Amino acid sequence: MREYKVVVLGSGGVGKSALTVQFVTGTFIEKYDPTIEDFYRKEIEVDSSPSVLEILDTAGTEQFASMRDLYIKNGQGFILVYSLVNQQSFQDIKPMRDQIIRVKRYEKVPVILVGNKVDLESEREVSSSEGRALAEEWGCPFMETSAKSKTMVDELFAEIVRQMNYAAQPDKDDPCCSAC
Amino acid sequence: MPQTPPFSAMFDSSGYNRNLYQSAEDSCGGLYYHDNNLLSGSLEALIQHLVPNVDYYPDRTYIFTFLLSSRLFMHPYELMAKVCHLCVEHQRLSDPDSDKNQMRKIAPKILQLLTEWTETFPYDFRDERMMRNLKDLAHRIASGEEQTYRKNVQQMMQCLIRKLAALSQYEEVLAKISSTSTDRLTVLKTKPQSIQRDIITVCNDPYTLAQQLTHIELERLNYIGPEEFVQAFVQKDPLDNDKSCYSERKKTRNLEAYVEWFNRLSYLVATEICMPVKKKHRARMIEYFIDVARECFNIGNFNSLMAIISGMNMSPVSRLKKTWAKVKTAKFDILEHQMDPSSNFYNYRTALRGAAQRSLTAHSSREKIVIPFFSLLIKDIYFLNEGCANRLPNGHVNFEKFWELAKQVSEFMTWKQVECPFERDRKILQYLLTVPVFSEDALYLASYESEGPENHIEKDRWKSLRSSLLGRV
Repeated sequence: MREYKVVVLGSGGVGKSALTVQFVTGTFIEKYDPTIEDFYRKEIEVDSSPSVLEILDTAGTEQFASMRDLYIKNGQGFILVYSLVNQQSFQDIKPMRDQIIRVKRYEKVPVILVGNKVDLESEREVSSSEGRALAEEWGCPFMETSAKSKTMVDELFAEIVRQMNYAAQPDKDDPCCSAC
Repeated sequence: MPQTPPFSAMFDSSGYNRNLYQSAEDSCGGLYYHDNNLLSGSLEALIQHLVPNVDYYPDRTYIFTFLLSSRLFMHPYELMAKVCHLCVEHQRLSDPDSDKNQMRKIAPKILQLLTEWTETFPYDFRDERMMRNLKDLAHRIASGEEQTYRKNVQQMMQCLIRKLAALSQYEEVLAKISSTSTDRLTVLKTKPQSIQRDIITVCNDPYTLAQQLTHIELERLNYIGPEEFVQAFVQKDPLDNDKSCYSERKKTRNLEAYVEWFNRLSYLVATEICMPVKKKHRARMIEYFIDVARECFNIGNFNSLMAIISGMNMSPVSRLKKTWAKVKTAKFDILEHQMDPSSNFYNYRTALRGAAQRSLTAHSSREKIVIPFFSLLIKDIYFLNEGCANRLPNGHVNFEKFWELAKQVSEFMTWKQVECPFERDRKILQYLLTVPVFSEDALYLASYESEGPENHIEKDRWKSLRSSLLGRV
């Protein structure tokens, strides 16, 4: 089974950990142990091929700025999360994408842009079109999710797997390859 | 009065929850148990459970756990006020004739509770409302006939005041340090000769440097109060109960200061590596820090180890391919493998357990040292808090969660009390704490100047950094 390493980035309070916890545990429970080996690991089936996701969530440790390059180095796919009820968190996400490109040193890194907290529609500060426009500029998928109301959470993690699969394939647009 | 035993004794690995309820029944006075473990209860019942009476004194693990977690529901001064009120009530409830007798029985217990509170959560008493209540209750106890109580009360107050004074002093030192540190690039531009001084000229022995790093780690750790882990959530997550807001002025920020130290150490490592103009010197610097990192691992100083690894993995350093080609990296590969984030930092967690075990059976203070990789501890606690509800659907406090939280924090409390066995070297410590470091931009600039850009992204960035930082095109 293929294993994928996904890094979740975004500023504090955007709900990164809620997305991760929702995905790995499926529910909010009374007691669990986040220190165990496979806590951040989950099997999912994407386009009828089973795979294992290991999530490196930076939630709670955003202040450890000097560690970000190390985490990026270890990741294959990236979920960039902002809160759609917080304009600042949307601004914060742009330098993080730049940093990923700088560390990975190529532009086609598998990335998904995510606006979280879609359940708080009435407090929205970032419109869907703003999010979509940024994703288009980056050439990456865009999603709006809610960890709280379990909207699009599994879809998000399935999509990042797809992105990593595309990236792993030889580039079809490359004239050299198609000629071979 | 019994001396406070070390925290490790409080939470043993098998059943850290030793707050047993004797009866076979599952609920008692608003508290719910399963297999004798307290699972949940109403906030009121939990407060009652904290307050001693003539024939009851709460378990120490319970005292710690509740004092730690209750601040998610109410401000410590509100809890203090309730505790005082209940203590006085317990006294009054007694028959007026046997008042003195009752007082004699209950006073030492109240005093012990206050002593535990002041010893474990001294920073709570920066709040003058807390202090006022403490003094009131202490006065009540000391005004009794028993001379011994008076002495114990005095001891408790002196100890608390000492701790608060030490905290203020530490805060002043931190403020001084942060006001003196400037950007290294500014220093280089104004005083180019300062490039002569690097870490190796200050301390050429990597083992000594690892020991001095351990000094800084243990000092900073020691000032962190257990409640700061919980405060971190309160501040990030405005609670449903807005009464629990902390007054900014009295809030300690020792945890933040420790995080800043971690970042500083990473940037210092990256700065020292990127600064030398000659490839040979950069390679020597990398090898030096590999040796420092290895010694940190041997000491059990996982936090400095990880900060050094992070510094070496910062892009401006890791992109220096020609430099790295000159470095023997076998030792570094092993260390990186130890701290690999894969499988939820499985390798590190195993090494940490080993160090914790060694610490338990240690004969010397050197063997006692366990300095955890702090960022991961914070993250574990963060996810514990995020993933489990504070209250059950019936409104009761989910105490199971807080046993788990207390277990994590109390382990840390044991480790932070270790005394550093190494001799202090003022000159080295001063350099580590105050020497200016490069900003991220300056690091990239230095890196590009040493080994030119390899693609158009890097080229563009180099150009823009040259113009913004050096004023050159």
